[in-house]
Amino acid sequence: MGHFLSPVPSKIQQHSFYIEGTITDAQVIELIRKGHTEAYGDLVRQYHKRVMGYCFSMLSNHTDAEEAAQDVFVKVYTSLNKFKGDSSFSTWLYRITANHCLDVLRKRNRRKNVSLESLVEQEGSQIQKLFATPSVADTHLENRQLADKILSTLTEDQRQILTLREAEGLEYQEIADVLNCSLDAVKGRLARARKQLQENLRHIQKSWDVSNIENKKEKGS
Amino acid sequence: MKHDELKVKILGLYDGPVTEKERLWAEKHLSSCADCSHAVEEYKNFAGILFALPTLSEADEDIFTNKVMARIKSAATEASQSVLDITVRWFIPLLGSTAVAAWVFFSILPNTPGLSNAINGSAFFSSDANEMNAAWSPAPASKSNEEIVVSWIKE
Repeated sequence: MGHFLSPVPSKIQQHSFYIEGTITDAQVIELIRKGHTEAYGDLVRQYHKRVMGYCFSMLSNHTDAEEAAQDVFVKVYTSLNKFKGDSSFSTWLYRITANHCLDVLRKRNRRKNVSLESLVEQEGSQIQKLFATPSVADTHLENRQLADKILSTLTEDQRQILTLREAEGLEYQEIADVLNCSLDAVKGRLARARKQLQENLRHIQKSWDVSNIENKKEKGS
Repeated sequence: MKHDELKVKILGLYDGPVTEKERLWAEKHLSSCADCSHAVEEYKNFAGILFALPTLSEADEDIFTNKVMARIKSAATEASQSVLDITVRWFIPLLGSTAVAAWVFFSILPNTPGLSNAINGSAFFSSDANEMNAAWSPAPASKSNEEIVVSWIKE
């Protein structure tokens, strides 16, 4: 029987539970409950990318995202006894992740400072560049921060539902399970969030175009 | 469905749960309507930029997993340490003082001359079995009032 304090097993051993391909999340959880705590490493590996991806999309900062993802996995481990299996493990995990990221976002309390006008004023030219050269968007730190600022113009709930759909690629029903709401509510909220994001981007684009023309006129005169 | 309504709902029709009939209708509309297909393409483009995920290697995965397991391990150690702290801080002194009190109560006090009877008014703590029996035996029956009156009359 494995023990809590046993060292992290080798890479081959680490993947043993899932490599066999026959074991389900529920079975791995059962193993952990029986004392095979090293099996939790397999569960972490299995969901690392998804949790990390979600945290990154919500927090837009690699360090914050990693810290949040670690917190989530520690929280999940300590709450494993509360997991009754009413929903799938991944849904439960996403629920914990979503709530944790919302908490982090609220603590940051950044939305207070972000308005469309100030964003256009400060970052207008950068936003134009961002959409003109999308290939570097995922790697360039500045672009990531810019994307974060754009997403910060949305409410936390709008950002959350868009992240679940656009970054994580969850189906509508899965989103409904994670957010604990009806399918119709997901359809409505997602449509509103998308519309809001499109409107914000158009507003930024227009404002930038206007201010750019004015600047050119001033220079010309 | 009118075109304006459709434009609002087009993304939901594009990726949401729809009936087969709705899906076919949306696809047909998108292929024939440049305005709507442009809206979908534009949205897909900026969503792809705004929600781009970081690239994570297997090494990142290993490092991350080790960090999580180490945190879990240290949390468990802290938890067991706090149980030990409580045991050392409270339980052991409590047990010790209870043992001392019991020793004083059961061994010292009963052997202190005159103290045991003074405390209980009986020979409960006495080591002498006879004394104890005597203490618990019923008191000798005294004369009833009637007998006393009869003896007075006789006198």
